[in-house]
This record gives sequence, structure tokens and C-alpha cells, in this order.
Amino acid sequence: MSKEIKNTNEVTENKNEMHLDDANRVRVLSPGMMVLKRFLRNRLAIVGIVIIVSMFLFSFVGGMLCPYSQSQVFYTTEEIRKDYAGATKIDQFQFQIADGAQLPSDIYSKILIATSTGKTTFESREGALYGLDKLGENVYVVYSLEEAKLLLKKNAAYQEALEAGRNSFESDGTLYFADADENAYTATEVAVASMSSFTGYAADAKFSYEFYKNALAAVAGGEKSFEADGTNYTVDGDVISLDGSEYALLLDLNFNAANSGVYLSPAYKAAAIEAFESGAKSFTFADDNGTDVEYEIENKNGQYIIKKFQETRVIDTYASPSKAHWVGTDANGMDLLARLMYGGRISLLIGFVVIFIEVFIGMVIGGIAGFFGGHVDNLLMRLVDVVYCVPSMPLYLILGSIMDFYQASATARIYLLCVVMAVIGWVGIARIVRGQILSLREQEFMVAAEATGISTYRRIFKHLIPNVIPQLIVFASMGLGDVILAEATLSFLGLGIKYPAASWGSIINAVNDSYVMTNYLFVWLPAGLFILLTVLAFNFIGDGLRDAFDPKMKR
Amino acid sequence: MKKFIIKRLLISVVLLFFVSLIIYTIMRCMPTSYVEQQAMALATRPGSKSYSEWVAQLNAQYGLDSGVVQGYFKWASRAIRLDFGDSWYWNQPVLAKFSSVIWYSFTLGLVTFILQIIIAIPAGIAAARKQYSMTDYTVTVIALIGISLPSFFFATILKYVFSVKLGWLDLYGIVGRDFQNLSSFGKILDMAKHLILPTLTLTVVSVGGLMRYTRTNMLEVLNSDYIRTARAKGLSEKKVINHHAFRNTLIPIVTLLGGSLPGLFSGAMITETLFQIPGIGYTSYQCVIQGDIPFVMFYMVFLAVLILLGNLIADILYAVVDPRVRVN
Repeated sequence: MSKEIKNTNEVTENKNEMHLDDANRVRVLSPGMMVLKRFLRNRLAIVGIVIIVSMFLFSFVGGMLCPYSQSQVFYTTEEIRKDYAGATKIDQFQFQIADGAQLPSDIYSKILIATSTGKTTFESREGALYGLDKLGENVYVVYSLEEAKLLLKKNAAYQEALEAGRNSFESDGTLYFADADENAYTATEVAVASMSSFTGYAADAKFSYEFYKNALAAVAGGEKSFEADGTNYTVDGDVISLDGSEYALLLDLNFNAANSGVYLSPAYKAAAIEAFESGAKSFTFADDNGTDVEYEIENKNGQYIIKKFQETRVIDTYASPSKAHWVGTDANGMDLLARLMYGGRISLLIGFVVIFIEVFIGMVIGGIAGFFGGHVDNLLMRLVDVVYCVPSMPLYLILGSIMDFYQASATARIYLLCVVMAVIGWVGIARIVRGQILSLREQEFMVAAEATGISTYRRIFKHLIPNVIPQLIVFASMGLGDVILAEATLSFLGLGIKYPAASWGSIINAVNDSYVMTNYLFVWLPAGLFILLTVLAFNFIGDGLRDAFDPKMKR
Repeated sequence: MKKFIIKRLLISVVLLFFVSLIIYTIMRCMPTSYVEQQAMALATRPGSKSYSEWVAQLNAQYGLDSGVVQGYFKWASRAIRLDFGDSWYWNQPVLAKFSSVIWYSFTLGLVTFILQIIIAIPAGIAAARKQYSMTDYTVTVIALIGISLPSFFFATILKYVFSVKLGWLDLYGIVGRDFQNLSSFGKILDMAKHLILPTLTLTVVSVGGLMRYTRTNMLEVLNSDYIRTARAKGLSEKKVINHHAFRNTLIPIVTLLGGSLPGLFSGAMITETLFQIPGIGYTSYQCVIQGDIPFVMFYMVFLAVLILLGNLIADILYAVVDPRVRVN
């Protein structure tokens, strides 16, 4: 007050000419402007307005600007130790099949039986006869046989083959095969069987059948060179070279990459074999870029599994705040900032929709009860009492579980929640409106309005309602906070808004997992603060409005 | 006065009838998976009746086969004799379960209630005495923060700070791990220790309302003519506040507090659930989730009775405390 007097004094000093009742001296404000002025003077209310406006901007504009949607799942690459390759000692014959030839299905077992019993022929399940011609240790050429009439004893080619330890020979341009009992067969070459595998030094190396056969023969026979497909190859131990450079490697281990498309080079295999033989647990080998990668070896009865840390695509759960995700991600790998924005939309929208319905029902019922009085009033107020007595929290919970049971969709839940909360919550407003109208009805201006004979409609809408509105606005702004709080509580209990739709309450729901509560503060803290701030802001505004509308409380 | 009370009581009974009818109707919409589950379990026993027969029998047993109105009257006629049936989830009479858990809730409610009075009334009065001072702003802001705090969020923060970071208190439950080995005094202390965080949560969340209520009423009283008279008389400010203003402020406050007395028994569903205090709130929360119709039905009606009782007490107290009301 003293401040105002000082101001007036200053004015008088400055404008000495002015009369006491000069219109310029006293600025007349309309009641609405007075309220606004008083409201704007309230610092807490301004803070509230600022918070609410920024919440709206954050949820609605922010949601539009945010590059992510609320249900977008993010992935990340993570180093996971995975199987990289496997190596097995070859204990079964590997077949390189001649062009156009076919092997019987039971060749693997038959050939094992034949070689272990020292037989040179065997019969397949289909009844076809096959012969084995030994080139060296565990290296055989497989022939398909048909009986032929040939006198072996006088055949020079046969004698020559016999001396060389071979079973096949060529005579008169035909390939023959002779078993241990000196029965002769005409032979067709089908495959070459060995217990070793070839690896090309070039990733795309392809070997012909002739190469396989001659290479195997050369290695088995300890020869220094061989010829295949018109090319000369040199042999040095297990390495076959072409024109002085390494061309192929013979191994008695079978390597398989865990993922298709991965090429295991001979050098890599050599490094692996060296590690196997030394019994090391791991070895390093430079990858394509020349960086050393560590590989771990697991030995299971002669079967080696090579493991390596590999980058794998996984859902980015509970990622800490970073440049890409300012608030981190939640349990489903969804961006928390986006969810906070979209959740804010739902929380704010539910608040406003519910309050709107509440005010509508409350005004109609309270207005009718207050205006008409008597039996109507009595009846309606008993209805208000009944609704007031229905305990709201258990009721919401029951409705939530009913919705769960009928598997209501996320949007249906939102609508239903709005309606139910409004249907429970309107009684407070109805009571206020009724009380207000009851007291207004008795006042002189209403008596005067009745005396002038204006219609009931005009009396209600022109004279009564405008006088109720201040109270309503105060109640609604405070009620907004309560509705947001109730919705958050329900969503927190998992009965309100559900995945994939977000609400602030459902984001905090994550703390039900105490591991998340303890370790991922960024998941639940922001949402909780947002709820607190928004509800607080609505309460500040309601408080400020109450003071502004009711200047009596000001001293 | 007698007439007034009797009239209010009769109205309350009528209201209770309608409220329980509404509650019963809603309860009947609940998925009764319990009955189906039970029937399934019973039907698998050797030599048992078929599943559908069991469902029919159980439905008849629980009065679920008749219509809503018929079923309601069946329930009500039993409820009047305080027979609320057996809880499905707890496998014991509803009232037995109720009486075994209600005291946890009552203790929690009572301690909160006392703390609330101790904190809120002096703070509210202090704020009103110096309106628009720093004290007033602080009290208003604290009160509004308390009102605005989501109880689950505040409880989580408390748990995070006191249980996880500091490790002073347990996260959940009413008793510690070695409860059985404690002496009887130690047992009480252990339970009290477990009630600290829930009490703190409830107090902070609910203290704001009373604080603001006290402040508003005190302001109203301080603006009234008789206070101006008392000051004009030259009474000391202490005397004005403590004798003239405070006593008059007490009228609405006592009415409010008296009306909230029955609420001490209603339990705090959210807070009890968060801290897993086995009070009536947590018990009924589990029942709601499990679809235990008899217990939830009882709890809802119990709450309705408490609300009606609260209104009744408030009305009567209003007449008792304020002689002006009695004269009218």
C-alpha cells in the first residue's frame, strides 16, 4: 500500500497541473483486467505458467521436432564372443567327385569297412560294384566296376600295375581294374577319396578333379611335381605351388567358418593348426586390415572351436544418455526423450479432456440442483453423495484389470480412462457449482434480475454462470494436477496407459524392477520430475487464480 | 441434535445401499478367472466331476450364477450379518484376513496423522501470520510440492536414497530377515524401522493439504472484526494469535480432522504396495490383481462406510465445536 502512495506522490509532483479527479490520474480497470493484473503480480503463478507452457512446447512441439517416434526401437552393436570357425580332424574319407559321376549314398560307411578289412572292392546298397585303387596312405581312387573278360596273367600292363601296388591299369585304351582274387573289371573313374582337405591361397580358387587326383597322388607318392590340366605344379610337403608361388594347401583338418561368406585363408589355418598343436588356449592373427585379432580355442575331443569377439546387432536397452539419445533408452531400446515427449502429450491431454468432461457434467448437475432447489436438489445431491462414496483408487484398479482381461488396445484404454476418471471426478465440481449458485440466488442482483422479468435462460447464462466461473477455473486448474497425478499412478501400477503408448507414469513403471531403480536413474528420474513439475505448476496457477479472483484475501 | 443424527444415519444407510449396489455391479464385470482356475484344478483330481460341472457348482457357491440384482441381494443379506464370505486368494474368511492386516494400516495411518498435525498446523499458522513473507512463500511452496508429489515417485526416491545408496533401511516388507530371532521389544523396533519410509512418504504427500487448509482458515480469522477489536484493545500479538485467532481457527480444523478419523482405517493402497507393508491396502491390491471378488467387494464397501462415517462425524463435530451452528 505504502508503495502505491509513494507512486501517487511522484505522479503529483511531476504533474502539478493535474486535478485530483482528473481521469488520467486514475486508470479504471475492468474486473477482468484487475484479476489479470493481480494474477501477473503473483510470482508463483508466473512460474507455474512458464512451466506449463514449456511442458506443452516440450511435448507437442518437441514431439514434432524429435527425429524419433515413441515406439521406435534402437539397436546397437556389441562385442559378443561368438563362434568364428570350427576345425575337425578328418576321420572320414573326403570325396572329390569326377565330372559327371555320382557316388552311392552309403559310400562313406562302405569305404571305411573296405579299407579297414583290406578289401579292394565293395558293393553298394543298390548292388553296384566299386573298386578302390590305393595311391598312398589313405588316398584312394574310386572306380565303378563292371565285370570284364580279360586274361590278367598275360597282360603286361597288369603286371606293371601289380608291381607298383596298383589295382587299375590301362589296356588297349580301356581302363581295367583287378581285385585281389585277380578278377578283372572294366573301370570308370568316379572319385578320389582322401582324408585331407585343400585350401586355395586365393579366396576364389577352384580346383578341378584332375588337380585333386594328381595332387593327392603326388603328395602320397612323395613326388616333387605333378601335372594337371596341362599345368605343372610343384609339391613341397603339404604345399602345392604354381610357378613358384603358393597355390594350395593340404590339411588333415577340416575347417568350417561359422558364418557363410567368411574365407579362412591357408595362413590363418596354419596359424590355427600351430596353436592346436602347441595346446595354446588362444592365438592372434592379423585380419584384413592388418590389426591383430585374438581368437580363443576350445578343444572338444579333437574338435576345435575357435571363438572371437564379434560385433553383433542387439537392442540398445538402458543406454546411458548420449548424443544420440539425450536421456538414454529404456528396457525396449526406445528413446526416452521421445517417450517423455509423447508421454507428456498423453498426460496433458488426459488431464484436459477429463477436466473438460468433469466441468461439463458438474456444471449441468450442480447448476440444475442449485437453481431449481427443492426435490430436484435433494435427489441430485444424493446422487452426488453416492458417486462421492465410491472409492476411486480400487475402482480404477478393477477397471484396469477388466481392460486387461478384454485386452483393450492402447488407444481404447486412453479413452476409457478419460471417461471413467471424469465420471468419478465430477462430483466435486457439482458441489461447488451448487453451493455457489445457492448463495448467488439469494443475492440482490439475482432478485433484481428476477424482478425485471428476464427469462430463466438469460438469468442462468448471463447472471449466474459468469459468477460461478472464477471458482470453476480455480477448481479446474487444481483438479488438472490431480487428474494427471491419478493417471500417472494408474499407469505406474501398469493398469493405465500401456506399451507401446507412453505416459509419464508408465515410464516410471520401470522402477518395479529394483535393478533398474538402482542402476538406471536416468530412466525414472526425469519422468517423475516432469509429473511433479507439471502438477506443481497447475497448483501454482490455481493458487494464483484463487488469490486473483478473491482480493479479500489480500491485505 | 438426536433427530439430526438419526436423520443423517438413515440417509447414510440409503446411500450405502446404492453405493454397494454400484460396486457389486462393477465387481460382477471383473474377469472371474479364479473360478475357472479353481474348477480346472478340481477337475484334474482323480474321479472328479467334469470341468463344466465344477464351474457351475463354484458359480452357484459364490452366487455368480444369478443375475446382478438377485446376486446383490443375496450378498447384502449375508453382509448385514457381517458374513462377507471367504477370500479366494487368501483361503480364509474375509473378516479374519481383514482383522489380521488392518492394524498395520491403522498404525501407519495414525502415526502419519499425528505427524501431519504436528507439522501442518504450526506451519500453516506461521504462514498466515506473516502473509507474503518468506515464511509464507516457503510454507506454500512446500505444501504445494507435497500435494503435487506422486507418492510412488517420492517413495522411489526415498528407497533409492535410504535403502540403496545409504543402506540404512530395507527396501520392502514389514519385518527384517532375522525377525524371528529378535526379542519382543526388538521385534517392535524392527517393525517400526520398516515403517519409517512409508510413514515419511505418506506424511510428506498428505501434509500439504492440511497446511494450506490451516493457512486459509487462519487468514480468514485474522481478517475478521474480532481480531481487529482484540488488537485495538491493545492485546499483545501473542495473546491475539494464541487465544483469539487460534481457537477460532480450530473450529474448521477439528471438523476436518474429525471427519478424517475413519480414514485411518482405509489403508494407503499405493504406498503400502510400494513398500509391501501387509496392511489392508496392499492386501486388497493383491486381491484386485488376482480377481478376488469377495475381498475386494468387502474392501470397497468398507471404504464407502468409512467415507460416510467421516462425513457424519464432521457434521456432528461441526455442531459440537461451533456453538453458532447449534443455535441455528
